[in-house]
Amino acid sequence: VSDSTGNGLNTLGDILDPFGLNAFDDVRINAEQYPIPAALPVNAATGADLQAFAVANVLPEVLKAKASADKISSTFNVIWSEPLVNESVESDYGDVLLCRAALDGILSVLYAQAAYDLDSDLDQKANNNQTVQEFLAANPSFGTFKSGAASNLSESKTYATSALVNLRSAINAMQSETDDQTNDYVTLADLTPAEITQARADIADALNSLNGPTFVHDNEIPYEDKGYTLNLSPFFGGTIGSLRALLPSFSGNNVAGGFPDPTMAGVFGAGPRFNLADTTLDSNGFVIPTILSDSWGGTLSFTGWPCK
Amino acid sequence: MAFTHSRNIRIAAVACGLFGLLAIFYFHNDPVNYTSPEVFERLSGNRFALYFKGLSMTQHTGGRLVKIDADEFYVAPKKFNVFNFKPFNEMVLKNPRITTYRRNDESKTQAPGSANDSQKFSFPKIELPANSFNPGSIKTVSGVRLDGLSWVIKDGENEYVKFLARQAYLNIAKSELEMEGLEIENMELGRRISAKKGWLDLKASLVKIPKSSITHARAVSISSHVVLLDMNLNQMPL
Repeated sequence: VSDSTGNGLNTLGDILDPFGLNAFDDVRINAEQYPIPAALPVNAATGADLQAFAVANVLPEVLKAKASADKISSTFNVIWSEPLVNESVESDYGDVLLCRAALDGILSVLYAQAAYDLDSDLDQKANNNQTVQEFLAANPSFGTFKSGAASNLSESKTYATSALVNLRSAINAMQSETDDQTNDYVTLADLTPAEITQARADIADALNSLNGPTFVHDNEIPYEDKGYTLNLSPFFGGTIGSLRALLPSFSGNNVAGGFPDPTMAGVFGAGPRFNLADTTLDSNGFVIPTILSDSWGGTLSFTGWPCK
Repeated sequence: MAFTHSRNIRIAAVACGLFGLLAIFYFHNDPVNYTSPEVFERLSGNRFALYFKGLSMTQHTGGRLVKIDADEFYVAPKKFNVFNFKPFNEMVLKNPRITTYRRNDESKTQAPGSANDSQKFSFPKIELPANSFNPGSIKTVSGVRLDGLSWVIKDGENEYVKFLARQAYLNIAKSELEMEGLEIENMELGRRISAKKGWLDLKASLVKIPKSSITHARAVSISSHVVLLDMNLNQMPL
């Protein structure tokens, strides 16, 4: 809800205030009814404001939630009424582990975003309907590494690791359950033992990729293994000085060329699935990476936010 | 067992447009006027909000005969990677064998391709007895998974077009049938195309297949990065 005061971004409701959204609680209670202003106020929150809010307000709350989740014992079991379908369901320790994994994932993202400068003038973007090309030109520091932010990426990696470990533990816990699963809120899907084994292998691949080059199998379609090499250590090691420097050139909202570094600073190794050097003449005459073509063969258009 | 007609909950999957398929799920308490489907050996599995073993239906919709057989039909928890979350369900037809007709019953003698070919294509409707399941479980269904799809479109007694897919997913919001391991054959023209994946656009009634996904083509022109085909497997402009 809005506190209708100009004392900065302190609550989630405060975020909506500077964007000029209706401050009445009876309007805000229904997200589908939000009247989006035709033009955002010129003092709308900037990208830096939102980043600061995430670090100062959101991060501590999620850390507290994670600390609480970490205290839940392995004998946890509760019956509660699930509101969507309004039926009684059971949550147990497997759910707790999955919840921990989700919180870890959120923390990893929050720390990662804090490492990069995402400052941008959002009302300029919206009110002038800036294209991607115009937006990048108007916000020259957007996507660059913040000095002294390496510790954020270190924390991000720690929580990413924890998320994957908890995810694997959740699978193990749910697989070992012997009680009736009929009313369990979260259960393992109806998978074959081979599929469960593969899920564990995927998690192991993801864990390894945090520390170095890892070949990741694509098992999406059994007869079409389009594996690729993934190495996230350059990202978490803070050696990628500028994310924007990895972007292709843009003409308006359209990609207008190939990636300057198809390996994305060493993150992607050779592999058919993520061969970012693969280019095809698109329907507009640009030679662009196939991965940035839409499924109709044309240039993928990035219309930005908000779409007008 | 055959279903009765009154105070039933109707779940209708209605195919719209020429060869288009669009599922619409809704609840209905009024009598419904169509040939009753026959459903055999209803079981109550613990994992399922609704489960039928063996489904066989025949009905006339919009003047056309529609048949569907499936090994299983159920509403069960939807997969989110390796997990199920209790409130979210999906509808599944195992090995559905669908037969529909190109023309109205009364116009089956018309010449193929005549201007009187109807653009409507309707099927299937499945009527379920009230109190057979928790209606809330249907509210969270966003699509229909079709494992082992076989869909034959007949012109009179002759097969006109056949769709086969190892797995397909009817995405209601996108009005799209997503297919993996697909084969489409137009028997009338002797054309066939096989691909690892493709999409049937239900509104445009066109099939979209990435060229890189095509594994076999007979008498089908392929000249672009993505091929767009009508039901005669003629390539359409992108």
